[in-house]
Amino acid sequence: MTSPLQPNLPGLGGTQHGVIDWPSGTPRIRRALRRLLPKRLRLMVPTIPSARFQAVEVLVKLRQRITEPGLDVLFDFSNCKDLSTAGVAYLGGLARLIQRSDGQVGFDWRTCSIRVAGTLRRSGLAHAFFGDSIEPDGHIIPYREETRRDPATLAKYLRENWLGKPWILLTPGLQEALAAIASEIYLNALEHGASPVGVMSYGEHSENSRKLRLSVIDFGVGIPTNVRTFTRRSDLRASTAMKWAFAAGTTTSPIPGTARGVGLDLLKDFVALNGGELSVSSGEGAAHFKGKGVRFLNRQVPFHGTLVDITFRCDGKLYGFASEFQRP
Amino acid sequence: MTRLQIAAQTGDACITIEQGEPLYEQVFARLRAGDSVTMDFRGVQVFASPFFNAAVGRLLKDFSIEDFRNRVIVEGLTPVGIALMERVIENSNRFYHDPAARKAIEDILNEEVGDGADTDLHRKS
Repeated sequence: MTSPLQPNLPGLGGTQHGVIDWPSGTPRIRRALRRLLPKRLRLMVPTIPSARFQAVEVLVKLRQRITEPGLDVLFDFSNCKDLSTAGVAYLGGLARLIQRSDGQVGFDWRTCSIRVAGTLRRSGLAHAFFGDSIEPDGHIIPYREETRRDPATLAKYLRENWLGKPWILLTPGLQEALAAIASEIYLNALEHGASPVGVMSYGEHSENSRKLRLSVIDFGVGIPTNVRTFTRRSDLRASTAMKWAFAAGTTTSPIPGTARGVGLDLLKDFVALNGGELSVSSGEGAAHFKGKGVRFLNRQVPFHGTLVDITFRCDGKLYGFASEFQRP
Repeated sequence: MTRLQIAAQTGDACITIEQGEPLYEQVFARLRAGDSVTMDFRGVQVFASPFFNAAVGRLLKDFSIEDFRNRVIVEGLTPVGIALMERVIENSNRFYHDPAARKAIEDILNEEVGDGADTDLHRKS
């Protein structure tokens, strides 16, 4: 675990956890200090909306601000009113990418609203990076980083966070169905994503709406690139690649001659029957499923990786637990 | 009739290809020898399609679906596990024995899907 940035250099102040004060002094002194100090960036994190594709646009622009490797980055939340589930998962992944390029990461807690600070702590994101204690909350699926496809570890996580949740509105069967769907999402990302920092996820359950929202992100090559490589069709539109990927029986697995390709198809059928919503942004492509409606889209600005954003309805009285897996 | 206690080999989660492959080898060998097999899933709580693809779906390559259903008995699966395995069997049977289904998948690659621009992405979603 990386320790928070410690401003222990001359001209710097601030001793609060995760806080860096920028060099003080005259412009001449500041210029001199900047030549000595590692390159730093105060990254202004905006509100990351819950609206799916709007969130993706915000995240793409956020990453574009990190223009070179080796930057030490301080996340500033002055302009952030809310972090959606996608925002929490993405910030975690972005922070790991910064660390992977030998940068350091800090949160400027002074800039956090009560709501945002609560989300950072309650989600487990602050714990993952700074060891902050986690405020237990029975309505979240804690922030998680998965870097390897270990069945025992994944099973334990699914059991503790999906099967064992005290959401009284979920029948045991529906909990099991959701655990199976969650495992499909994680395994798909781990096998196909080729993400340098693994797979990040975070989920929240709303008592008011009786919905569970889960965001899973990887920072790999994206579905369109995988499909183009596998099918040897570099001319393929991203939207076409997305449609192919979601069709039953398709896979970009390098294991030849084996029937595969059930996971994404299963996911979309589950959403249709559950009355939920699924959106996937990947590279230059996107897919959106709501009810029985489906759209496959092209992005003008690529999302570097894959974001799966899924909403489940948890008012289990409406659904038989096995029916979610049957053909609609 | 051979009985395989799945949880003894995989634990309470059957999710990855790597877990499924050894089971496939065991079942395949017994079916090839003319035997029947019972796969006892009692104690397994979590399932995912990669496991079933590797353990069960691949059997459809060398055995007809009728032969498979007659000689592979499944016990102790949860309703979700049953539904997931059935989906994998259906998909595998199409993959190995239905050229029309495979062609339909290939035909997707020749479609012009989407409008070529992300005009939809800025609508409220």
